[in-house]
Amino acid sequence: MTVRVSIDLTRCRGHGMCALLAPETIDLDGWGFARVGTAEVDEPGDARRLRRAAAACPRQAIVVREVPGESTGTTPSVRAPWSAWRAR
Amino acid sequence: MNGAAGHEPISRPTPNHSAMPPRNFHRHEARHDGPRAGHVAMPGAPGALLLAGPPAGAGAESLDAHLARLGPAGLHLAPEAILAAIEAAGLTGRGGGAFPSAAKLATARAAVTPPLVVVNASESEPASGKDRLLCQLRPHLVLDGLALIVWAAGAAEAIVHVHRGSDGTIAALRAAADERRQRGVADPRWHITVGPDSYVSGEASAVASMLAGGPPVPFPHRRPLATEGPGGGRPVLVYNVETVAHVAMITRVGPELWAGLGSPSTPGTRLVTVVGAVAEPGRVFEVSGPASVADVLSTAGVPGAPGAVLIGGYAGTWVDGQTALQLPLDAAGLRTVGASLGSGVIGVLPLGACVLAETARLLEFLTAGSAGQCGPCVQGLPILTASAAGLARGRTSRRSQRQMLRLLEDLPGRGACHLPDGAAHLLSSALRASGADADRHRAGIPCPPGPAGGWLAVPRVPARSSR
Ligand code: SF4
Ligand code: SF4
Repeated sequence: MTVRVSIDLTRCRGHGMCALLAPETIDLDGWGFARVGTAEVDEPGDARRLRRAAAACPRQAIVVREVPGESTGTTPSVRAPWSAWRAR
Repeated sequence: MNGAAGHEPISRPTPNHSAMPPRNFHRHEARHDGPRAGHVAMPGAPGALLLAGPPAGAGAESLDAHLARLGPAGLHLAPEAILAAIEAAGLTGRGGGAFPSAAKLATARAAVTPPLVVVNASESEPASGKDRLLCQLRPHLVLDGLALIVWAAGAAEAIVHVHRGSDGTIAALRAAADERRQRGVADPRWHITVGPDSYVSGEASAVASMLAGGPPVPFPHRRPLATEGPGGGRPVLVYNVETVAHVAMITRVGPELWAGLGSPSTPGTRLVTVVGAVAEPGRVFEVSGPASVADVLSTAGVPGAPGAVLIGGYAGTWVDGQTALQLPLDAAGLRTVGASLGSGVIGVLPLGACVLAETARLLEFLTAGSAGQCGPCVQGLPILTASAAGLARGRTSRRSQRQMLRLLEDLPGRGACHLPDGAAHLLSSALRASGADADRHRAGIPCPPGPAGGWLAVPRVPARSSR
């Protein structure tokens, strides 16, 4: 069964609990706010840890929903269009 | 391409406003500037243009003139037929999101609770003038559209949402409503609500949040607003003013004729507001047929190639002048450069103007307009703004550039609304469109100074007064 995760960034205050509990799915950005790597999780263990992280989040900022039906498990990432420009 | 005859604007500007300088305007003044409009029209099908009819200087089209020009609205149609017509026409939202209008309507019809219909006239995009212009010049088209959506959605009432200081719009809509009442037009119940004029408060979920008694800031919704409103309450069906005006037109002329006025990827006509280094900044044009950016620029009085063009709004996409002249002004054409029509704003910079300096000013405005709810947005936008300002002045460190590039990749998608995405995209596209400018600035060669306050006017943002 697949679950889809999103972070409500109006709630997240960067406590970082989630990244400790579900490191496969969530990491923290440079400021410590939660960042979702893979929005859809198939692996039962990952999904279990994700639910634990959602429960542990002091701000209740992690939203986990079940996805009905099949899924690919990943969502395509969007690339920023500055590729023509390089840092020098 | 358009015939030469199609380039005639329908009206001259009202003379008392044409002396207004393109820069340093306050939002307040700008929004009370009289409506000005023109066409970039395909010859042959003028009847179905939103802005056909009396010229802009003539003020609001009366109910009689409106009915004589277009006939009655399609309220004899069954709700299903209205939905089917909108779907067949391929209408998409004109407020910026370009979401398929029929899909939204179908979702609302499927919901258990009848939705609240909101016609969003808050036009929080500062450079845009099309929604205000429609309300003030073609109020009956807007109210017809409102009635059609209410009827098609099975709703009981509607709201027209404006921002603070829209006295002209409110007066025009009230006068039109009186006219309709006297003539016995059976309109649904609707009233006007007034919200703040900050940048994100016009976003659909922010409007919905405010109408539900919450703060006028975007809220994270995991389901469409049309199925579940703020706090799980009544669904809210939010449509932009231009979108509902098109609905009124579609039910009259039929989806095929209407869609034929556009191009395959952008059916129907589209309203654009052209600002910056043009003859009359803020003038609205109705674009029909397979028009290109070049057509719009030549109609707007841009001689030759511009330096750069900002497409879609203040959180839009910069395109360098040469590239812009080759672009068709429709979804498919703009997509090739990563742009979209957004709310229809086209900002023009002359040759030699500094894209980076303009971007820094726009970013400063966007940053100040952030609702301040989401960590990455609150932290990231000021950094992007400072980076752009640094590039424009030729003062950046390698470290801050690395930080900026990392942010440009990280920030999109990291907020409850699309402001962080838009800000990152604006700067990314500016880096491309400005070519070697950043290098030249670092080597101590600045761009020639532009007008004080820049080419693209940015309203003063009251410091967080909207919260
Ligand atoms: S635990 Fe909650 S508040 Fe903390 S970083 Fe994760 S999502 Fe944000
Ligand atoms: S992303 Fe920014 S502007 Fe949008 S809701 Fe969050 S803090 Fe507000």
